[in-house]
Amino acid sequence: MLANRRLVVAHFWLAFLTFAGAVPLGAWQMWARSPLHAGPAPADLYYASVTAHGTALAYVFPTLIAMAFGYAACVSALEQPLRGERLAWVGFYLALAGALMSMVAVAGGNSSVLYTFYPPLTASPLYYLGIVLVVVGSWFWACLMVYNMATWKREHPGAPVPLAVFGTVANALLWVWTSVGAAVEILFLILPAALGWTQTIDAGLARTLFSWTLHSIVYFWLLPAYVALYTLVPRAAGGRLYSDRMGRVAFVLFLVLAMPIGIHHLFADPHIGAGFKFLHAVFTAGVALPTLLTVGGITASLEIAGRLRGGQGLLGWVKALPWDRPIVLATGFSLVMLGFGGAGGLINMSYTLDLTIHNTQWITGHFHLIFAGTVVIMYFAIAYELWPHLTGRPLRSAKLACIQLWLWFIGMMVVTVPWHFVGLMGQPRRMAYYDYSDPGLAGQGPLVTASAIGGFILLASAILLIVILARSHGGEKAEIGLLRYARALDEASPLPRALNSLGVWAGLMIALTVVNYGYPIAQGFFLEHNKAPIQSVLRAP
Amino acid sequence: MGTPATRIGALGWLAAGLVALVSFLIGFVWLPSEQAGAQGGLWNAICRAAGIVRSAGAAPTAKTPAPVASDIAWNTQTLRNATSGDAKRASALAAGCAGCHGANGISPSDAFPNLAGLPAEVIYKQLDDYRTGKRQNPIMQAMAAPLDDQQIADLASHFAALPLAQGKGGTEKPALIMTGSSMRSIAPCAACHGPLGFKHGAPPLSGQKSAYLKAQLDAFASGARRNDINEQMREVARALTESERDALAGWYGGKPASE
Repeated sequence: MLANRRLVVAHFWLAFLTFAGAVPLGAWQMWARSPLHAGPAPADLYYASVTAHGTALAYVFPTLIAMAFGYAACVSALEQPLRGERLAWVGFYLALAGALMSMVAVAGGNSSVLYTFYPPLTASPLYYLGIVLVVVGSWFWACLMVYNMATWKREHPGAPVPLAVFGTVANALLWVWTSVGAAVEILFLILPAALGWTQTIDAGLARTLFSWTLHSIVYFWLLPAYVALYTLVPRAAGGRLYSDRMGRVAFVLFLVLAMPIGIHHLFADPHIGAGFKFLHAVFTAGVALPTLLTVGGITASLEIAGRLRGGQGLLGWVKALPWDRPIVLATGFSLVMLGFGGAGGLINMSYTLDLTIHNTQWITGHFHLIFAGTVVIMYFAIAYELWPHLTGRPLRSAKLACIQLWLWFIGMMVVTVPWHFVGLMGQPRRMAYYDYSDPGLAGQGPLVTASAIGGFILLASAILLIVILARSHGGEKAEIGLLRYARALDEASPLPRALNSLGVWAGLMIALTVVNYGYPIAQGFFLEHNKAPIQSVLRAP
Repeated sequence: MGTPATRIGALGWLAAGLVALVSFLIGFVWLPSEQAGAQGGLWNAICRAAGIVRSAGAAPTAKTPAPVASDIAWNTQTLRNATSGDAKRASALAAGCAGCHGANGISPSDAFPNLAGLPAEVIYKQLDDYRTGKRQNPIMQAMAAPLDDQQIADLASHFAALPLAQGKGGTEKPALIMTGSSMRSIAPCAACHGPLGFKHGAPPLSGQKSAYLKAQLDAFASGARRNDINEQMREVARALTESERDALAGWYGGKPASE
């Protein structure tokens, strides 16, 4: 059994309970604004629900999964208990308190600003403080990851840091730097307005700071899934990792390139100059590099496994893979959704193509496909893979888990493919109500209905996930072996030092951020024309 | 540059720097210089690409300014002015209003609006618009003409402090209030007048006089009244049918204020 398992299990359960609470809201939202719902749903309830769904699933859920898997990878791959477990618990309770504070504020109807905050809207200060606490809790985790890797390296001079830990620490460094943008936005712009200390807010500067966080946070969500792809999947499939070094290069590239690209979310914002939009579009294209490296490396690893299992011919190895193992099945689904989502992402990052789909349902479709599809399905697989090591009880059952993954995949495709289409037809996102009786919108009705049905398939899958995890947790104890990671084909060859440490890359990440964000942020301090009167969303007393 | 480690690190920095440099040259120099109408040389191209708007070339020829709907713009200074009044100082002045708008700001006549409980910025803007002739009414223009900024702010806070009028009870609620009509570009009334949202200068409508509301909707529709800053009320009122204007004015006038 895993060291520090109570800590890891606590994070996983809090994550999945948050998830279980937020998924029904998503299903309700899809139904409420589809033609299946008679008449308009109450708009205030709708926006409160969207805020709760986004806050829980974008801030709380993935952060806790990254923390849980990070701790697990750290203690199992370094083969030593976590140093600083007490601080890890402090981080956990901070995140728990923050999550509760935010949810109380949203449930009270006083914080319906959506998880992207939307200045000059201002919500109850409780909402922002809650999110700050979640982030501060995760900083404890990030510091512990760096500290554990650093002390291990000191005690094992020259030894390669296990890939699972290397990827996790890269993610921890990325996250600390990523969260600085939104933290500055909340502490220096939004909270003073929400507390009534200022009457105006520089919405442009706030949006620029948020974009600093908004895109790289996606890679913070993604990297735990990639760590699992590199370190758990090849072994579960019965093969070897094609290249350990390719994995390190991918993690390093994510660390360096995830940050200086966020302005592609602001292509339609007038306060950013066209030159910076172009610069960020170029660097966004760069992120395709580690993504393609990973797709290639993981596919090669699966091919090794398939051929070891007797697969023949050009594609015979695909059939020979053990698709009845949840993490292998999840990997297949994940790569399919990454293919579609990645192709859509190329549209979003193109400065000019983006204009055709900006602020439409296409975007909602895109990030659900990539995050809730590609990434979250791997979170499920990680939980299934780790559960026996955390609880000392076997998974009940792998077959049920595969059904759950199938439901999630089908549900996510049924939700997001029609969303992309209605986006192309011009349907705006973030609307509580559409008048489908109107001939102009009637054509979108059937697609929206289909996607709402997908929402309920996802809800069924989410319920099944909780049932499987709870049933397994309450099952009978059994002998569970150690958690082991995939061995790589190139593990014997010497590792360049730059691929065994992250300092030089973290430095490059900061340098590129200064180059790509320095002026757009600085202008907020000397150009005054962006100031807008604040609009409180607090309920009238 | 000795060990392989430093070489790989330096290579990474070099590659990132090169990509940044080439992107800068394309995005800040080449593309903006090639744009139609580009002028003013390299430095202007770079500034434009960075988002700094500089005046390039000859200044545009002076034109007569377009007529504006109102001299009020909702910026920080206006909001500060509108809410800087002293209700006590206004009591003598307010006596002059009582004849038409009632001693407590609740009008005895259907032709005159209730003023009690309206936000200070609403009263402030309308008095200023009457004073500058942006909103036209012979009585009110004469009343507002002698007032200075401070007196307008004082009156605004006087009426804002009075309890809001209570309606007589609701009838059938028109769907336009909460959902508008997206295909006719009619925003929901409630998006600006509450409770869905509140915009500066948009008055709450509950408990207002039906006849007054109808007259204002008609005036916006015909263009007789045009002091809505972005023409939004004229847009909406023009798109409404006669019977819709009746129904909306009727519902707000008959609606209890608590709703």
